[in-house]
Order: sequence, then structure tokens, then C-alpha cells
Amino acid sequence: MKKDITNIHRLLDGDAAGEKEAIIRQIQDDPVLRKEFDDLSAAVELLEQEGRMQPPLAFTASVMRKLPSPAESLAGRLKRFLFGSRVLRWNMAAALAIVLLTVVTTILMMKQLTHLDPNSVSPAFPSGEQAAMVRLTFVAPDARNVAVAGNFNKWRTDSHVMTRENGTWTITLPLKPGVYTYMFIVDNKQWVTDPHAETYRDDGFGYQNAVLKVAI
Amino acid sequence: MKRPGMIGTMIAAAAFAALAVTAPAAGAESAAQVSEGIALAVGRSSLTTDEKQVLIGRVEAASRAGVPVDDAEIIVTRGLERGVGAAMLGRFLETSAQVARQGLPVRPVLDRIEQGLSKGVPPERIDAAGKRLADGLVKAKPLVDGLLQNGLPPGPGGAKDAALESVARAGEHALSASTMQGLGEKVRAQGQSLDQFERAVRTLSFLAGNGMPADAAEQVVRAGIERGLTERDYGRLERTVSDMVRQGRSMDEIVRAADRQAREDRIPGDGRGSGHQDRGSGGSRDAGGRGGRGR
Repeated sequence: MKKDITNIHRLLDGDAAGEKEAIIRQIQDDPVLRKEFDDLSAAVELLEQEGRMQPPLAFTASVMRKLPSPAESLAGRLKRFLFGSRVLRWNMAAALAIVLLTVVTTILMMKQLTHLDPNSVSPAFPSGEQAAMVRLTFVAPDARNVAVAGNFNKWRTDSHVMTRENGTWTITLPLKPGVYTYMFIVDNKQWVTDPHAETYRDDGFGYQNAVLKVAI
Repeated sequence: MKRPGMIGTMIAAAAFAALAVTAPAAGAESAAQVSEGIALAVGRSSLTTDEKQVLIGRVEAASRAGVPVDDAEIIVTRGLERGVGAAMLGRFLETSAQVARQGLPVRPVLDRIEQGLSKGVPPERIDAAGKRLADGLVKAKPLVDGLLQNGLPPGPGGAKDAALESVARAGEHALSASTMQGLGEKVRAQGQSLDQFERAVRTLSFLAGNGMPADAAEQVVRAGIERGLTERDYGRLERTVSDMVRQGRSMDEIVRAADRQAREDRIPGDGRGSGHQDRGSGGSRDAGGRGGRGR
């Protein structure tokens, strides 16, 4: 009986080219098979009249949710969480908003950076320019005090007093990139050119200022 | 699909509000023309009332011309401390103001005056040196503008002011405008820009300032331009000359050494330890050495 019903399916599916006549005769001779054939034919006709149905968008997901979940290890779930592909729904307003937030965040971060503590490791001036820490040294064992004056401090003689370390006077200056001229002042009266400067520039009064070029 | 749109609109509104908060405030007030420090220093000085009024007037005029108030304050307070008269202080300010009014860089003139006062240079010499530099800047302008108009690339920002200053300083060493014009054309022909011209002129001044004849100095610098010397190379060249001058070598020797060094493709190190030359952000640069007992 099972084989006979299979023959009906083959006939309806168009898979029984060589046996078509024999199967039709068999169906006509057997009332049970004939009823089965009529029912199936009616069903085929009904489906053909309905046309192709469109499943809802979430059909696959809803079917998959109803399927029994396979036993999955913790590592597998983690891997799927981390590396499983996702579909992100977006629109232009959301995208523009994200771009705007990124811009605002960047501006805020840059403003924060320009207000770094000037005593921090990499000092910055209020203008946002980074400073180089420049250490000047001057050997004058007999001097009672040594200061440095230059265009970086508008030639003030008392604002940058150097510190003595075993006869060597030193000072560390935070300087923005640029070209600076300076001289040492020994014992508040003697202006001395740094003998080990990179180069020199005349000061317009017959003396030589040391030149210091700072680049970052 | 409505939900993300609403959220997006809300985020956008928040972002615009944040942007408005972070925008810089406009319409900041301009600096006062006479600082409290100037008013106090002038008020306490022994100047007569008329002199005080004239001096304050000069400060205001300089400020209007574009001289920074803090520089005017340094000139006035430092000058009064050193006993410089009101008329001379007024001349310092007027020289600076004239430079500023012509759109020329005023910083070199201010620097020279402030420096002269600090070093105790007689006021008349400060006045003369300031005016000499101011005149040099005025004469430098058509030369630099002409080079730019003839196609010399302008280089980085600030290069023009630096070039004006260097050309003005070169004029103080009796280096002619035609010499500098020629150097500028050479720089342009070599495909270099204004900042490289400025560096070449600075070295030219340095060489002339150390006693090298103008034609020899020009020859050295022309060789340097041809070789495309960098800032560092020019610095080393100057260093070599400076050392040789200090050692009392003859000018012929110095000219030959400088010329040879300028013609080398890459100037070798001068053998000095690096302990005096370290620099960098967050690091340090050592400079300095054994002190002489100055002037």
C-alpha cells in the first residue's frame, strides 16, 4: 500500500514518465488509491490557486526560537556573543548624531588637554603648544649668584635665578618651540655670553647673545 | 524604525547643546591701553606732572598702534628704575609704535629696547639701536615682498617676520640690499623657500658680524644654499667660525674652513659631547659651559 501511495506522489510530481500508464490503471482499479489520488489532486489544485505566500520578516527567527536550543558550552556562547554577526538598524539622524557627539567629545578632550598642569611631565602652555624642558648650565665656581635673562623672560634679571651644584649653575626652563637669545648675569652685574651655545647673534649693542633653538 | 529616529534626534539635540556650551565666548574685551603697573610706576616717579602726562600719552599711542601693553609696561618701569627720562622713554615707545603702524614685526624692536635697558646700556645708544633696527625693517619690507612676488615660496607661518628681522639685522652689518636680493634669487632658483632664505641671511650676518669680509661671507652662504644646508648645518657652520674666532685664527683660515664646510654635502659632527645638546618634550636640553667673567 505504501509503495502504491508513493507511486501517486511520483505521478503528481511528474516523476513517473515511463510508468505513468501503469500507475493510472492501478489507481483506477483500486477505490482506496483513487480516493487518495483525488484528495491529493484537490490539494495540489488548491495550492496552485493560492500562489506563493510571503513569510513574515521575523519568520525565520521565530521558528529558530521555537526550536529546542542545542546544548552549548560556555566558551561557545561567549564566542558567539563576541564574534557572532549582528545586523544594526540605523537611520541618517542617528548617524549624524553619532558623528556630532564624536566631534563634541574630541573638542572637549582637546580643551582638557590644553589645561594640563604646567608642572606635569609634558608641560603645555595655555595656547596648547607643548613645551620642551631646556636645561642651561654654566660653570662659574667663584660666582655668588647667577641668573639667566633672555627674550623668553623679556630680559628680566631677577626672575630666573640659577641653582648652584658644585660650582656649576643650572636652571631648567619650559620653552615653547622657537628661537631664543639669552645671556647669563653673574653676581647681578656681569653679563656673560654662554660659551657653549649652539650659535650667537649680536645684540645691537656690541655684545653676543647666545642663541637657543627649541623644537619639539 | 521610529524608535532609532527619535533617539537619534534626542542625541543630536544633546550634541548641539554640548557644542554650544563648548564654543568660545565671542566679543572678549580688548586690553586696557595703560596698565595698572604703568600708572603706578609713572605716578610714583619723580617726573613732573607734564612729563607724566606726556609719557602716559605716549603709552596710549603705542598701545593704539599695536604695541603690547605688557611690553610698554616693561619699557616704562625698567626705564624709570634706571633713571631714564620721560622724553627718552617716549622716544622708545614712539619708535616701536611707528614699526607697529607700518604692519612690521615690532617684537625685535621691543626686544632690543627691553634688552638694552636691562643690560644697562646708555639710553642714547638704546634709542639709536632701536631706530637703526626699525629703519632696517622698513627697508627690508620691499625686498622681502619683492622676493615673494617673484615666486619665492613663503614657507611656514612666521617666516616673513623672521625674514624681515634677519634682513634688517644684516643691514646693520653693512650688507647691501643687492647682496640679499641676490641670495633670495639664489634660494628661489634652488627651489627653497623664504624660511631658508631667512636662515641663509642670518648666517650671512653672523659671518659678517664676526669680521668676515662681505664678499667672502656671501660666497660661503651661496655655497650653503647650493648644498641645501639645513638649520642644523648652518648652526654648525656658525659654531665652527665662532670657535675659530675665539681661538684667534686668521680670517683667511676661517674663510677657507667655512667655505669648505659649506660645500660639504653633509656637515660632520664637531666632536662635542652630546651632554650639552640634548633636548625634547618632557626631556631636557643642556646648554652652557665654563663661565668667563664678563664685561
